Amino acid sequence: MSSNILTVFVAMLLLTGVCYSQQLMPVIMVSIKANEGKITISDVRVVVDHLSEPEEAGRHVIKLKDDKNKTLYQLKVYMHGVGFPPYGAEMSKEELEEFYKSLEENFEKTVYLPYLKKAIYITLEDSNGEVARFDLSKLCNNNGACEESENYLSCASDCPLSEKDDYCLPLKDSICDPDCSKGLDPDCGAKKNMPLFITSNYLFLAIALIIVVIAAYRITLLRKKK
Amino acid sequence: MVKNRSAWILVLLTFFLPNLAAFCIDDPNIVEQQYSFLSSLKEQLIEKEPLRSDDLQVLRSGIIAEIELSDSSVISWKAYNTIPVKIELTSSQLKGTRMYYSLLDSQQNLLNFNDSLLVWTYNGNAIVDSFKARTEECRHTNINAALLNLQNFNGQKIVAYAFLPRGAKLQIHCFTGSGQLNVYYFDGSMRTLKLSKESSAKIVTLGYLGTESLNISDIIELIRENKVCVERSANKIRLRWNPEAIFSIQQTGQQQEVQAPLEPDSDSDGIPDTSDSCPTQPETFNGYDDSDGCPDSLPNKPETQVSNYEQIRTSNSMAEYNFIFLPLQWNDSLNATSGTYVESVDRIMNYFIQKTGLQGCNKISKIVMSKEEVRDCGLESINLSCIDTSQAPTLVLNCVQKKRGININSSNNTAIALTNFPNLSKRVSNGCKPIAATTTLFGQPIIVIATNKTDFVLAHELGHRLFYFCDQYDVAEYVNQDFMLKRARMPAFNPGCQNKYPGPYSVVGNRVQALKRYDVSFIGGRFLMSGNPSESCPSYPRCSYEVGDFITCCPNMNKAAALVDCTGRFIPITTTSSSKTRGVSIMGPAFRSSGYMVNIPRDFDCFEKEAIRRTIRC
Repeated sequence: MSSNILTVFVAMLLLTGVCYSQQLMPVIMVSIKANEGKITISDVRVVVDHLSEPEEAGRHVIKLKDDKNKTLYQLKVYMHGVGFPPYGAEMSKEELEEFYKSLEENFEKTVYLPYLKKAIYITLEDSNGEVARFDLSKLCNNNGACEESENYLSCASDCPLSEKDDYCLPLKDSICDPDCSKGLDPDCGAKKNMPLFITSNYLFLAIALIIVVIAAYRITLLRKKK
Repeated sequence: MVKNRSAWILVLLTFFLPNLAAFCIDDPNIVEQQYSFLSSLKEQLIEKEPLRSDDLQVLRSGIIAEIELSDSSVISWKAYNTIPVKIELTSSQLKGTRMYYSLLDSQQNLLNFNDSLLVWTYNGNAIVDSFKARTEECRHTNINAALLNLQNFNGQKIVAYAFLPRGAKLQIHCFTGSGQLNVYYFDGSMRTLKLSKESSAKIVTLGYLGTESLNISDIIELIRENKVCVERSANKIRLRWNPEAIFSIQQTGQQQEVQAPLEPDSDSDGIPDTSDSCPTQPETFNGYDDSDGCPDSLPNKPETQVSNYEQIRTSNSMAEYNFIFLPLQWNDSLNATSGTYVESVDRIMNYFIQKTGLQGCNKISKIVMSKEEVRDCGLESINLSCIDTSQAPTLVLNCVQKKRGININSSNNTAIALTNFPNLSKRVSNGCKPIAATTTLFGQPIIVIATNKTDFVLAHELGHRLFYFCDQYDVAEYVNQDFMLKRARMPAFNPGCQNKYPGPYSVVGNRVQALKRYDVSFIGGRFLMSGNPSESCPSYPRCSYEVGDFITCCPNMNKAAALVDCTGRFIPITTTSSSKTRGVSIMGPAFRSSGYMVNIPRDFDCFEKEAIRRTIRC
């Protein structure tokens, strides 16, 4: 299993040099929800994606912090829903204002932060202080069960690649990821059957050999009797 | 030494920076006299059509209008189409920064920067230095640009006022260091642009993009507020902008804003200086030593690994995509029994999703509910309160799954289009909104269409979902009407989205109306969009290109392109020439802040080309 983790992170290491300012790599996906103005960090997972860009209009900052409460990474976020009134439709100013006001209090937003191993929790802060917090130990609690927030990328010990963790990793590693849809993981195809086929053949040959040996033995006995 | 330097600066300021406050007379009585005088001429001025001009020679002095008089009679007057902007360059470490800058008009023609941009620096509250624009070449490129050299600079920010034509651009070459450019506009709006060390030229829009035009009545009104100054001679009146008066209000307002609690981060890489081993060099986020804050790179990047990551991402982000449409009542053109609508939408949606390289989306499942199903599921009686569609997704999914015995992956990639929802329409009389909207409220992308004026409303909302297009709102319009003035600082109402449908909203009477600046239709096989009006982008011609052609629109824009679809019509999509792009990209998603890119192969095969040609008249 550790070799698989190694594969992922070696691939990650080798990804440098691409001209992207934001590269594809394992990142922490953070879902933030606002319900009637109450903000919560609802879901956190490690996924492969790009990092989020800071949103300068934002008045909130999402931070990755270490065990000494030191900020390792910070990103300005704009806590506002996104909604689109219609093309061609007429709305009064009051209607439009109400529409946008509703998006301030009810929305879901996803941001992508670097996957820093030193980080132990995420905080969302505004000018008055902390608004929401998420304990990153939930990304891997090493209890042997693959639980919410855990997946193979963050916790290979609890979520082995061969078991479902709701995240498809279509790596060429001879392990079929059951989370991948048909055709995505090359290891889930015909190749997987090859060892069975070969095993079956060996079994067949072995049985045939035994039969031949038994037959030869019987023939030899018959000849001796004659 | 200090005294000598101060004296030198004073001379410099006197020479290069005509004291803008001196344009105006502060005495309220005189201001009122000027206002009264111009007011008495107002009728005459309105009667005479002013000559609009983009004469660049007057940019520096900020002249708005010149009026010729003879015995208090207006002979003629002309106005200059320049708008003041205030530019702030801020950074925690400006010292040592160098940049070369040029000013361009909206067509990217070089403006005479010597006359157009006044640059000086603030150290605290006082002007301490100014910069003489001079032509130089940076190492990387031959340019005609002014040099801003902050080698020995100890101030906090650079402030400049410019009087620019609408849509003017700032071209920055060879910028060193990092910083933030805040641009304040006359109407109270502002935008922020992030600058980082880069060798390639960067062009950013600096000039005002609002659509409203100032008329002589507006200008006269501004005299009272001292935002416009009057210079009178025997037979001529000059009206000048007074940017200090204009922008002082904004400065006060900005101080009242609640700022995000960011820790100092000199290189703006997200890693605070206290945790950054290289505080002046931005971290290269590549998964390798990302917490040290230092740039790094590793050689030997096999393509297979890159594609592996791309595959991982796409296979997870777009693996399942369900669309549910209900009910089928679309001005009688969407008839469930004839299947016209179903086939058309089904074909077009599958075609677009497959052929735009959204791997995994070939598993798209679209469910169209009939009127009977809607009724049987009890969806007609859903109590939708205004645009609160929280109940709809679960109800719809549960009902469809139960009735049809299928399993719908109720993930975030499910879009539910509620078309012509009866109860939503009814609630209009209760003060709710007869609108269509796309939103991520309650975790599900929902397209709510409560009115069914025409099919392009649905097409428009689908464009948000499929192509991540977002609307472009003209905030200035609202500000101009005193509407949502407090929100004027928001960078439009759809932050983070660069992939805008062109065309602002406008205020017509007391209504806000989206201008039909682009023609978009999905149902007829078209997804057609004209260019951004501010870019003078011509409309795409129809039915004259081969499948697979790319037609670049707006050579100065280098962002818009059209991909001809199998019907012979155009699928306009935005592209970018940045290094982030491989192939054609759709940038600036509506629902995510990090960007989403798809590759569209030039040689894609035509999906049911003939079949579509037969069913859709070009």
